[in-house]
Amino acid sequence: MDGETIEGKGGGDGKSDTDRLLARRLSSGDTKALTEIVKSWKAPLERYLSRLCGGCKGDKDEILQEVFLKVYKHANLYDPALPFSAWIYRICRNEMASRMRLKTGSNEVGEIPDEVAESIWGTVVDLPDAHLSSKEDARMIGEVVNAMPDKFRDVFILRFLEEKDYAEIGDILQENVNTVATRIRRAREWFMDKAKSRGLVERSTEPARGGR
Amino acid sequence: MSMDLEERLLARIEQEHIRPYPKWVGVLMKLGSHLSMGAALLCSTLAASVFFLWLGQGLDRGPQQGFRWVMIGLLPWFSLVSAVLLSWIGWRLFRRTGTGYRRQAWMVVLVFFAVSASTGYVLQATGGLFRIHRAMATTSDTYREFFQGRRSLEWSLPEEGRLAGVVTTLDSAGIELRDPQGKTWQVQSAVPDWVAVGLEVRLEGAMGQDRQFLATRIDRFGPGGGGKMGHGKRHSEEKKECKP
Repeated sequence: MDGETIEGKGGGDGKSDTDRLLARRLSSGDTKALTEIVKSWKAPLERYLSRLCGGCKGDKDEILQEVFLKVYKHANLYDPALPFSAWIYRICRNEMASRMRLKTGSNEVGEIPDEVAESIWGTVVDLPDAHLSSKEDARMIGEVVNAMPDKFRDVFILRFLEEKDYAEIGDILQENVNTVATRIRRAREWFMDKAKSRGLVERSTEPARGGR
Repeated sequence: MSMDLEERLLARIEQEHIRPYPKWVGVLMKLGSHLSMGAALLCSTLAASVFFLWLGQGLDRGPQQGFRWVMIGLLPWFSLVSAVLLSWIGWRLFRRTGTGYRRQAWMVVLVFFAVSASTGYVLQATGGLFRIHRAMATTSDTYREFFQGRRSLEWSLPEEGRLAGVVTTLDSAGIELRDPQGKTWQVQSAVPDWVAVGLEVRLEGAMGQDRQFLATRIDRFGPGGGGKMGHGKRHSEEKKECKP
């Protein structure tokens, strides 16, 4: 598993418990609970949508509105065995996917900020001294992620951009945790292959070698 | 921006009178998933049961080798493949039940198949499969038309002492039978207790006058009733019962 754990963090942290309580209040039609959920989840979901679908900028607000409405309508169907974050991410991803199916437009990943690209690079390359040598390289990472096949990009974004654990990714994509692990490994291999062909690996490790 | 979204949401909820779905919708959806999963398991069990039936009584593919000969030979394997396919469908449905997707696919398919195969074997061995066949044949016209008829046509040669058809009436004196041509026959014979109205049977004996048939043997088509064309394993107890 490339040194990474496939176990989830469990859903017993404070935020998760608060979300479960909010979901319970929501199921009785409490709109104040919805407001709290929106406050708490708007920013992460907006960021996730940008990463998942940079091409649907105009629709992002509309998608978010639909996501929160679905959360409200389906509150009684929420299974507390599932982490709330996985449930809301799943709704978000499905809503986006159904929109894209209708529009068949671009679903390119939005522009990845330099520091995010750097952190992706550090995690994916798995070399302590690896760092991106220029802004051009950071932009190139965005291009590589953009070119990634959908089944890999889904897990790649959740793992390396959203920093979700394997169990939660499994809950979002409704896949077994081993399937998720395999897909992440393949996505990483695919990414490394493309990065190598663009000379990213050599450039990022050269200065480190020089320093030794 | 955040307030905008919240305000718009609340306005829409108010305008469109949106309310969370009631709890029973969730219960109904769960029930639906579990029922469809149960249906897949049942169908898989029946397919496995039919496989054991063919396996147990063998196949008579007839003397001429041809397409039909090949197809008859493939029947048991078709049942087996159906059972595996239905187990896979069972897994797809299981995935939709709560957190079912967390389980390993191959493990769930294997469990489904193992349950289907063992239940199917028990069903066939205890005569349950035949009871289901009889119940279907006596209650459903579609089932009768689909599964019965052609084999009766192949078997029926009254002049040579072979008659087949669907039982139309049944009493202590004997049975009334409608053959594949639609002719009604009065059959004189002791009637085995498994015979029921609507069931397709095949007889051996001698043709009499005015559509009378003196049966020395009554066999059943379908599950537990001997091989294709009646050359498979016979049931000695049925033979005994049929002797007038």
